[in-house]
Formats: sequence, structure tokens, C-alpha cells
Amino acid sequence: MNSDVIISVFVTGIALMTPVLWAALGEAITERAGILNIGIEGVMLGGALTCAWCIREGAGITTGLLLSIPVGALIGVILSYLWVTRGADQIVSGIIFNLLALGVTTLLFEEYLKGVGVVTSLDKIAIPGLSEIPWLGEILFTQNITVYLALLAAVLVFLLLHRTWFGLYLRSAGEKPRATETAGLSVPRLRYASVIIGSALMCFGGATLVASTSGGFVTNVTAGQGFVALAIVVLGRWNPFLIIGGAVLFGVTQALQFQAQSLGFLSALPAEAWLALPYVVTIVAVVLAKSSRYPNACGVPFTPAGATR
Amino acid sequence: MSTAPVTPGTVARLRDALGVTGDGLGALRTGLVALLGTLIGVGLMIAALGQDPFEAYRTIVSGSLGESDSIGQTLMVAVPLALCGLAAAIPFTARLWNVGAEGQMHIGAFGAVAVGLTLPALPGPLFIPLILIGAMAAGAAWAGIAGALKAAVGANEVIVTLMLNFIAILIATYAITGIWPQEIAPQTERLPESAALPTIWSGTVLNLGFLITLAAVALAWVLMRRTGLGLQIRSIGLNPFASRLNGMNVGRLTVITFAIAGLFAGLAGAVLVLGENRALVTNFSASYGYLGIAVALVARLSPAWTLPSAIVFAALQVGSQSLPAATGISTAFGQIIIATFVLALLGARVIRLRYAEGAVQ
Repeated sequence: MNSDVIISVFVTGIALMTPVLWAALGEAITERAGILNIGIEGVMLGGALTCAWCIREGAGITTGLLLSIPVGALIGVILSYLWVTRGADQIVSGIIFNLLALGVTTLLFEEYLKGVGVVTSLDKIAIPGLSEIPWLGEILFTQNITVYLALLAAVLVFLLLHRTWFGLYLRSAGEKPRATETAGLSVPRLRYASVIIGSALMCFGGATLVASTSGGFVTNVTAGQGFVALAIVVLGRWNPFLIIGGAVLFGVTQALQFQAQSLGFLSALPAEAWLALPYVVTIVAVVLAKSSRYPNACGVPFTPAGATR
Repeated sequence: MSTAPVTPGTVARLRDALGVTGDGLGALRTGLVALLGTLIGVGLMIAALGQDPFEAYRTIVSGSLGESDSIGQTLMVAVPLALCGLAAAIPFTARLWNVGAEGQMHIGAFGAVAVGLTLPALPGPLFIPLILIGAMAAGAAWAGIAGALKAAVGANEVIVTLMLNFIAILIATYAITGIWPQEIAPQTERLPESAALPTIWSGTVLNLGFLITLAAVALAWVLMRRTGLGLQIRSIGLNPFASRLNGMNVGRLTVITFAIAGLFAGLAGAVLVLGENRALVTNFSASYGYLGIAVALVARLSPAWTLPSAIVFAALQVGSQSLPAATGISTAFGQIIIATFVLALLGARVIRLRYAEGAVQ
């Protein structure tokens, strides 16, 4: 295995990690406030379809990416109504929401977008100077804009959660909501905000999937990436910087399949083994992250004092 | 036992047996409102696509229940839905979120094909049970992985079972492309003819798999309502800490509960293999494993109600297959109706899964 292969695996891996990273950042915000959103996959499908639609209508990739943000926020409103206002069970309704999103996006795709190939994708931008660094330059600084934005977003999410009052309130709503309420804050409002922001990020992640890596929308284009994001959040212990590491791990194991024939004796493995590798690595990672502790109130519906349900 | 008159005690026992709780009637009323709301909502969506919603609903009904042939098809689709429903309902009762029925079913189908193609062709009455046992063992072992990881290191079973789904589907794909490939179609070699499940209603596709499912549902009901193991499974769902203090081995029960779920999902895979093509076919599952979760929720996790719940959803699935030809709208509407309905039920809190605050994780 020579250095060209290694560089190529990492270049592809960083590009492949981007949608998952966006989604995992969104999930980290959501879970920190005490809502377990298992519907990531469905939200990402919504973003992917939005972006593909914009490209088909000739509005361009940038419009598609931007439009996915309000679409995600809208989905977030619906989900938080279900989880916060109605107090529905988060795990099972998240799974059922994924079924609904798969059904609706399949329907709209078959009805309006079928047979339309999306061949354009985002251009790679080489950062002057930095992209000249051997190895690292090609891997990190010759990527498309969504990669840079994702890394920036990780920093911003960290600052939001750990360096602002709002972030402190969000985290308290995920750890001890009753105490948050006693302090005079509205837990439902904080949770609405977190689900809406989180969904917007996930939806944008879905859009980047179409804009940069997959090159078009097909039925179930996300292929489990939303669930991988769920695992990466646990692996990264709800810390945006560690989450980047988890996403890179996933992206690189996914990229290996494209270089499988250059990997010496491993090239004899069947294609299915390479396709399964990211999922196996995810399980191993979740097992190794056994000491990760979920935010205390994550997944538990909250009933405000005085309200009856 | 003498012939007992219908006393309040009998009624209470019957309600308990059927899983109808005290708020059953109110829930039924809310449920009907949710169904109506779903049909109106989805109807508006169909209208927005420029189609006639009444025509679409009529097509779904006639496509699923119009002729004996379509009734047979509906009942056969209800088979994997009911079995995957059990694979969700039983662990959900223990608050173990097995969302891996899809994968367990694929591994069950793999096990069925492995047994059927390895053994020499035996006579059916011997061959079919052996294949079913192989499939159930494979499904149980696959689900047991998630249970064991949960019990040993507390690995989140939602993530693990979902990842195992993707791996299982790839293993099934490898069986088709690598282990037992068949030149012409995307499927494995065919099992010997004696492995086919005999038809039990001539002129339709209804085969022995339906009776097997009836037996499985009855067995699951007995297990959950009339055995010590069932009581323990229900107990760890209500309060794992109290269960542990009462001397139950929660880790062992977790593995067993997952394995039982895998048995039923594996059986679903075997029935699909033996009933249709006697081979493992690419995309043989129309998300049955995930729809099984919806089936279990509408049955309110009661094994007995799993079957009627599965039949209703099967009718929607089969009926919506006739939609493209008759009205030009997508088959995806069956799935959309099911998912919207279940979300409405969850939102209306007809389906409630109770937690003590701070009792999870």
C-alpha cells in the first residue's frame, strides 16, 4: 500500500464524512437538551430531496443547500410538536418518522424527479498556501466548501453549547429538567429550539450528500448514515471535536471500498465485506465507548409542572 | 374445570388476556379519530398530486380484499408483518428497543437457504421443520449479539440492531452473489421442491406459513401471559431495578428476550423463502422488519393483537400495489398511510410507553 493509496483513501474519506458530521452535530445539540432524535435518517432524506429538486429546477446547488436549512427547521417544528408538546415516545416515533420520510421522499422522487440525472457537484476549493503542504494539503485543504463549513460548524456548536448561557440552559434541560424549570426557564421552549436547530443541521447534511458525494437523489440515498451519526454522537461523547474524529473514522472506513483492489492480500475479500466494514466499525466503536453516559434526561418526555397529560 | 359463568372476574381475566386496559374504549375512540384524520390528511396529499383520493382508497380496498386471490395475498403479507411485530412487541415490553427485525429476518432467510441447500433433499414433513429450525436459530443468534452487547457493556441496542440490519442485508446479498449464485436472476439457487410450503387455500397464494404464524402468535401469547419467563420479561420493562432486587438476572433475561425476538423474525425470513421462490431473492423484504414495529405499536405490544394489526397493515400494503396501474400514483402511499397513522396514535397518546422519570440509561 503506497502513499498515493493512503492519500486517496483519506481525501475520499473526508468528503464522505461530511454529511454524517453535519447530522451528528445536529444530534449532539438535540440530545444535550434531552431529546433523543432517532429520525435523523428521515430528516437527512428531506434535505437530500430538497437539494436534488433545486438542482433539477435549475436553481443551483447553493440554493439547494441554503433551502435545506428552513426545510429542516420546519421538520424540526413538526418533530418537536410530537415530542415536546405531545410527549410521544421518542425512540419509536423516531423510527416511524423515518418510515414516513422514506415513503414521502420516494413518492415525490418517483412523481417529479425520476430519470433526471444530477451530474453537477460542488467544486473543490484549494486553500492558497495550506493546500501546498504535502499529504495534509491534499487531504484537508483541497475539499469542497461544505467540508470547511462542517469543521467550522463543529467549533461553533462547541462554543454554543459550552460558552454561552443558551448552551448552559440547553444542557441543563437535558440533565435535570425539573431543576431547569425551577430556575424559571421553559424546558419545552429550550427543547423546541434544540430540535429545530438540530434538524436544520441534519437536513443540511442530507443536502450535502447530494451536492458533493452521491451526485444525485435515489430512493433511500442516505443508506443508514443517519443511524451512523447517532452512533458517532455516543462515540464522541456529545463533544463536537471528538465527534469530528468519529466522523473521520466512519468516512475513511467507507472510503476503503474504493481502493480495495490496491490493498494487497485484502483485495480477495468480497465487495460486501468492504460495504459492511463501516457498520462493523460503528458497532465496535459503540462497544468501546461503553463509559459514555447519555445526558441524564435524554429520551424521557417532560411534563411541565401543573400540566396534565 | 367446570363451565364458568361470565363473572366480572372472567371479564377481567379476558381483558387482561387480550391486553385491553382500563382506558381501552377511550383509546379506541381516539384511535378511530386518528385513523379518520390520517385518511383525510393523506387524501389531501393525493388530491394535491392531482389524483382522486376516493378512487385511490377504493383501489386499495379492492386490491387487497376484492377477490379471493387478493385476500390470500393480504394474509401472506400479514405473515412476515405479524412475526416481525412479535419480534418488536416482546422486547419492547421489556423496554429493550429491538429495531433489528429487518436484519434478523434476512439472517433467518440466510439460515433457511443454508440448511435447505446443504442437506440432501428430504421429504417435506421432515425437511421443512429442519429448515425452519435452522432459520430461527440463525435469527436468534443474530439478535443475541445485540442482547449480549447490551448486557455485557450496555451498548445502545437501538444503534447496534440498526447496524446489524445493514450487515445482515449485505450477508444476504453475498449469499446471492458469492455463495450460492444463480446465473440468470438476482437470487440464490433454488431449494429442493420438497421444501415448498404447501398451499392451504387452492387458487390463492395462501400457504402453510399462515398456520405457522397463527401457532407462533399463540405461542407468544402463552409465553408472555402464562409463563414465569414472560412475567420476568414484563417485569424488567416495568422496573429493571426492582427486578434485579427480586433476584432476576437482568443481563441473562436481556439476551434471552433478544433471542426470542430473533426466533420470530428468523421464522419470517424462512416463510418468505419457502413460500415464494424457494430461494433468497434480492430485496425480498418490503421493509417488513420496520413495519413490524408499527404493527407491534398499534397492537399496543400485545401478542394476541399483533395478528389483526398485521392484517390491516398488510391490506394497506397489498392494496397500494394496485395504485400505479389503476390511478397512476405511487405504491409508497401504503407506507405513508401506515406511518402517518402510527405517528398520529403516538401523538394522541393512544400508544403510550411509560417511563419513570430518570429511569432510562
